[in-house]
Amino acid sequence: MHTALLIGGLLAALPALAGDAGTGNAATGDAAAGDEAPGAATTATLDNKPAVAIPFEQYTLDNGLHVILSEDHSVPFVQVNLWYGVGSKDEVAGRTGFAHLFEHLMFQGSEHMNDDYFVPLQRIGARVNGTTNFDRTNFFEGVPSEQLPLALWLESDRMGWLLPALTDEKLENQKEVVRNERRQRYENTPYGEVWVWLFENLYPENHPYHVPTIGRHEDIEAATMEDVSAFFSTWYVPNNASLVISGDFDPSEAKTLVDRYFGAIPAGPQPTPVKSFDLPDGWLSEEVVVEKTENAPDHKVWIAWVSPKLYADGDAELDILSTVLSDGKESRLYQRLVKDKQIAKDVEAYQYSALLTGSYIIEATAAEGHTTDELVKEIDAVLAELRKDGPTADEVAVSKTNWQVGFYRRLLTIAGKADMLNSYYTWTGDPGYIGKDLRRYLKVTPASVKETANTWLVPGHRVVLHVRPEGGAE
Amino acid sequence: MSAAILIPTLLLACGPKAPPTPVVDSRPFDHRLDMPEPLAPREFQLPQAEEATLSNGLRVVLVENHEVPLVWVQVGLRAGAWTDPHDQPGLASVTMDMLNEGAAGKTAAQLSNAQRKLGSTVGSSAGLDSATVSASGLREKLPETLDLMVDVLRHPDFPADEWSLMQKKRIQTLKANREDPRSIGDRVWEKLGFGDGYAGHQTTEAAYQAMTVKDMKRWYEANVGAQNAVVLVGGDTTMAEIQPLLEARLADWGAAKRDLVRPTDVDEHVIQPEATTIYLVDKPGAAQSVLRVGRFVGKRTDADAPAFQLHNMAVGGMFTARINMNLREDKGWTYGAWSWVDSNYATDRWQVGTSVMTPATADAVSEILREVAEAGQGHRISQAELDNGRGYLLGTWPLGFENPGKLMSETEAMWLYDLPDDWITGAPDRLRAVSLGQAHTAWDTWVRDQPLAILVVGDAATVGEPLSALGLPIVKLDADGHPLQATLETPQ
Repeated sequence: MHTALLIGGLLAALPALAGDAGTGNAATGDAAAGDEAPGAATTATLDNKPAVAIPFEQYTLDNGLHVILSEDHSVPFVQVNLWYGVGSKDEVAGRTGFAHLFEHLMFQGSEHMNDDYFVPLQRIGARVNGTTNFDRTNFFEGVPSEQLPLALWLESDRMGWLLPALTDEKLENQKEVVRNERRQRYENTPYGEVWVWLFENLYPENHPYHVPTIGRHEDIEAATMEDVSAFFSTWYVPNNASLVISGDFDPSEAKTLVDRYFGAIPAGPQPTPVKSFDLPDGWLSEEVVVEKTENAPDHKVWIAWVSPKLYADGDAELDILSTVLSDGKESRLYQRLVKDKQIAKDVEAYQYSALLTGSYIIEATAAEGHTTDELVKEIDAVLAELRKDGPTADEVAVSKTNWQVGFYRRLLTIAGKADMLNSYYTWTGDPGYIGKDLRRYLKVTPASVKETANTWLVPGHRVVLHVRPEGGAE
Repeated sequence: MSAAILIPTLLLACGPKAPPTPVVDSRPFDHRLDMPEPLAPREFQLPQAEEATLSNGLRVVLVENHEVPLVWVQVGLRAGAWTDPHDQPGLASVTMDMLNEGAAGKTAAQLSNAQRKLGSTVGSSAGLDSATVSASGLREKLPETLDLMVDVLRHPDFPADEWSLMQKKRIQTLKANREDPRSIGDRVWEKLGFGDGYAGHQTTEAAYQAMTVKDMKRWYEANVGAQNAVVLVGGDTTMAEIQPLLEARLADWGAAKRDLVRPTDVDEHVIQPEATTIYLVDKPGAAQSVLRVGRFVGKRTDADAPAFQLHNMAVGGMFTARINMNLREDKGWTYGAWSWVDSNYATDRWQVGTSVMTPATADAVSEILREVAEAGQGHRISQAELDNGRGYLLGTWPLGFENPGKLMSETEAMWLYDLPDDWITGAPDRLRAVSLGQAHTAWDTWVRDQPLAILVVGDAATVGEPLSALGLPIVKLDADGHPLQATLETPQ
């Protein structure tokens, strides 16, 4: 659920426009995951809450575009949210960063609106952005309700008629923009390159997650118009996309508009995104220790394991384990490392789930005068206790309560709900999966957390990344 | 002020006026060539805020929203960092943080656990102008959540062991911020604007070292009390429900020792640039330079403020504004470049901010200065550019009200800054009323031909010479904003 990682958005800076809409990225749906296990413990206090649900209807156009409509009349605004089933995992060798670069090119105009994508939208009061991660690319614009035709016309034009408007000049310009995005977010930000260092060690060189979505400078520079055209034809077809319209609109009007603007786009050959990757036998059977330096005064450590992909067995357990380990001042790692021993300034554990695999990460900053080796030793002691005894029933109950309330907190914006509908549809086939998603957490027991910790958080089978101040000071 | 709280229901068409198309016709796809006409505008009802007063005079403002079973409660206090004693920068912030580290006999861990058992959160913090104690949680846990919030607000224990821990963390964070280019940029920019006063009155290791829980208790007793507070509530509750719950917990909350009123001396600290000057903080090896360019302008309540706001939208206030289209979409030097207006107790400050690739630093400064100058003379903003910014602000305006957050925060701002009664309700009409001539005049009044402060945080070895070639005075600063040399380098 740690969504700060690895997302290359089109924009930064203005808070209202920045960032990812906060989607979890899931594995393909496991139908059994939604069923109540017999005798599963659920939180005693919260069973009678209103159901967590987002209303919707769905259908598919002849060209394969899947359409999901969700009415919400709280303000006269409508969100158009489009997901393409392609992410940086689907890039070809030597073209890291390309999926994200391509996302930028989608904002450079199309045949019938050959201008910056923001030009017709900002002046009518639209909030516009797009993001790319390992697994998918999304585009979204929130517009005043009466401007729904414009938003659909624009999205359909770049889905169907992007290439005639693209030029070398636009490609070269956006390569520079993206390289500056990389400089800003990774190189001119302390510890920004940690994700590069972690994933190049956690996954083998031929793994789709070996390089973060932002990619390498030399690969971004090497991209050509031929790459652009091949990528567009392969991936940006209606049969590899799903469209959510959410907010204050009339569904019958919306259907007419969708048909009018998207119906004429021909289906392409069905693309085959990477859906699984088997790690080689014995991968990470020995601990990999990585030492790096950073132009910053703290000593920090990241410990990373390969973990279950989202919706797989153990994924929800690791989310629950993370809250037991580091949410709140009563959490185990905070108590041991920060409060009692005072060897850490901060510590955080989280499960980053994605389509091919999860990555379980614990990161900590040493308190002044202490070393990262001390932190690793104490983190290991806490984990050993959990592997041996599991969390307490109270710890798991408290954690489940907070995950349940967290689901309500995710329903506060129409834009967020639109993105969730598309995320659930893309990864499970069911836009209405949110209720089943919550039930995954309510099923977790102390025993299942203990078992998951023993299966996945194996001592030694991991990457330990130490980052020290440059110049070897302290 | 009280009249402002019962916000009248407004019917506003959002977005610029355009001929409505009543119904979508059913022709097959044939209009690819034409940008489609809008549908009929839909009506927008601004949510209503409801007001009540507790028996001790404490004001309560409620924004109902029953979409999810959650309630947010926020006690706003006038007690921001501006109240820090001169020798104790950071005291308000530390004290407010410490409220949640032990209260009513509960340790920090017990407080945290009590919140998490309910699925609630309780927080406390101070910013420059105000402080906040806030809580949120399930409606059915509202009484228990309020109990915890009131513990933190009214019965803090200031445990010495938690202060000792926080003290070490804060000092360590200070040192880390001194190495982070954007953090350096933020702090030094405030120093350039206010010297050692107001937003420039920044924390130091020494101040943290000297601070004790006794100082915190003294500050708390002086400033945190009912007469300096307002209570904002949003979400799944009603006044009939929340008022008695608050009355039972806050009606006997007494006054603080000091009456905090809006400070009127803050502008004494403002340092308006006298000559356009580059301030350079060296960050060896930096891949980018962090840039700020700006000066102080009018106040947000001035008659010409909406005109200035719209002019800013055209120059740098949105993606399609001139500065971003130039530096990003034309030159490719940056991931984004923006301009905006900071509003607080001081006079407003207009500024451009961006991070640009190191080799383009001086060129980027030069282009920003050119855009600013040409907006005043030679390439004035057009009616279309003015309308683009206006369309953006008016069109997105209703979106802010899809949950209670914006109406709560704007209501708090009205209280804190004594903003006029129609601050929220009148915003769209104030924007609609601005003419192109008024926008030009506002720009001419506040920015055209005026000196600008320019801050560069970057690799001096690479950017120093090209910056010198711009012919502007350069002052080198350390990462805390202190000059490294007594005299200015004069341009060749």
